[in-house]
Amino acid sequence: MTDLHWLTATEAARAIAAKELSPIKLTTALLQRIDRLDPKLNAFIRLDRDAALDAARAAEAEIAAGRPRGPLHGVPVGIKDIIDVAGLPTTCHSKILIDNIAAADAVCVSRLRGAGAIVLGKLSTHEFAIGGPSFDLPWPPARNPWNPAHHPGGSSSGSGAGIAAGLFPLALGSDTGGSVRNPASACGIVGLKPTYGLVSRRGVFPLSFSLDHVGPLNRTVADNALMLSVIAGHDPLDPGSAAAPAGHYASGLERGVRGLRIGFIRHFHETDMPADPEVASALENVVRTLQGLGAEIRDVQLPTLTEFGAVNRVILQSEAWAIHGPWLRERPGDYGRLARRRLLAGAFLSAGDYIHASRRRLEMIAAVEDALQEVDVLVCASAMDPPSRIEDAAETERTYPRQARTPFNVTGHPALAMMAGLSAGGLPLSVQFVGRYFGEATLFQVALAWEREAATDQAHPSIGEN
Amino acid sequence: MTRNATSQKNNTCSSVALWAIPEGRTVRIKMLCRETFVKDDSWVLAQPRPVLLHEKSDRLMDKATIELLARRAGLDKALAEFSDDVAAAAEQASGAAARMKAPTDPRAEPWPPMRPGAGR
Repeated sequence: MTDLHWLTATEAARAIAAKELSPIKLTTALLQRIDRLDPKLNAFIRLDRDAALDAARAAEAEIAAGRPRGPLHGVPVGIKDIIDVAGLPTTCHSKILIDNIAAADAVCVSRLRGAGAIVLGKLSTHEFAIGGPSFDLPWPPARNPWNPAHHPGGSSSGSGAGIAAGLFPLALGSDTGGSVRNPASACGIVGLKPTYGLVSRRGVFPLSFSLDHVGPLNRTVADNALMLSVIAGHDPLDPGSAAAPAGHYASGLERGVRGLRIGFIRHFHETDMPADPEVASALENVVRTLQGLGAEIRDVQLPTLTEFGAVNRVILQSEAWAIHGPWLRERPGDYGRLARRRLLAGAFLSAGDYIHASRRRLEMIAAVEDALQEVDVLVCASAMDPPSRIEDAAETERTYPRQARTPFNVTGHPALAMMAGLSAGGLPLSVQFVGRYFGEATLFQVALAWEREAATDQAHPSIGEN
Repeated sequence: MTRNATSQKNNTCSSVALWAIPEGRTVRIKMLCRETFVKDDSWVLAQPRPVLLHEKSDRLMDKATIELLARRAGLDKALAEFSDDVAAAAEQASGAAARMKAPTDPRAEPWPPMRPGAGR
């Protein structure tokens, strides 16, 4: 059998259901790996060891008694620390909320538990999902398992680092300007920002009400689809929740790409923000491979990344100011420097700016919808550079905004980022697929075709293995 | 500084964008809103006139004007303890606002803010 820590969630769930694998053995193996590796990676803010082992014992007993809970029974999951887990602090990696104990599980956590998943604990994030990587917070920032001197992406940093390092096969993140897809890109894994409203945000600390999405991070496309199937669905108590029914995303993944029309947004990485040559080359390789598998490739033009980024920022900072204004007035020193700077910006935007951005947003939605009338899926860059050195603030500041993820927070279309290859320096390169509203199944279909062809699911960092 | 927003009373403009730069240097402000900046530290609505949001007029603003805006937002403590961060935040906000294009149709609605499948 594969090393337990590299088992996918799909494999682990199948083995557990067949009574070939003990949830206690799996959880214990992962806890031991966390003990060994996490001091280098800082993926966890809080490891809930005893509760995880209790849940594993309960899962084993339930399965032995013939009472399976669901498709993730006995499989461990890590939760980004802006998402509530009952009885644990939701700190948002910030001194501001250091004593904030969650009274109940967030809806997405509740759905994971309902499917049988075992919560391991709370994961590092950029402060309030906006300020990072930071070294002036109560906990250190997470590091990249491919090379701990590098940034694992953010803001769902611990989710990305922990998945890539084999600390757990399932993780929850959130994505307001790319915060699921950035760590997926930097850590060489699979991260999905679903259609806006497909996954409930209830119990998730907000950054920007109309841009926030909750999404899964995993090592394989199949696991990502399985996890989405569990967490997706209408929530009448989330005002942003979509009425559309959730799908069974884990079935029909293997239909391939023959006959699909794929739109390539070249101008994002060629002219809007010229990408590192290795990134550009990896994107061309992905597109050529999909074409070789029978997809039809067309060039697509959208508004520029600069304008998408500006609209995203005005909306995000305006909405975030509404949330953080009181703390910024009274406790500015309790924020780290990066979060403080980014959150204060909302004080300098007017109502007119916000309305202006909202009006442009609808025009941008129309532009993407028009493009998706002509093609089934879009492909484009995610990150324009390999991950930066985490302690090089200037490099991080230069490269962090060089990305093509914010457009799809602005428009709400589903977008999946995954590994496109490795740089000469051994760091992950990435690609992004974008689909129609509620078209996650087609996204998974394309992503799986690439994964199969490139064997991205077999690429693991060697940290701690020697 | 060729023009100073703090010295211009009742000057109707169309939205706010700030370029905050280090102490002692001029900071540029573009106004894009239908608001009027007056010297008594407050913002008041201008008399209505048919101003489109994409109308722009350039202004210059010094450090004092950033401070006025920050104080109006209740950020006295942040100003005292983290004035560099306040200035950097003003710069971020101004840059983002300035990079947005005007809607192509002046009747364009901002509503609904997000509703997948109903955005057009």
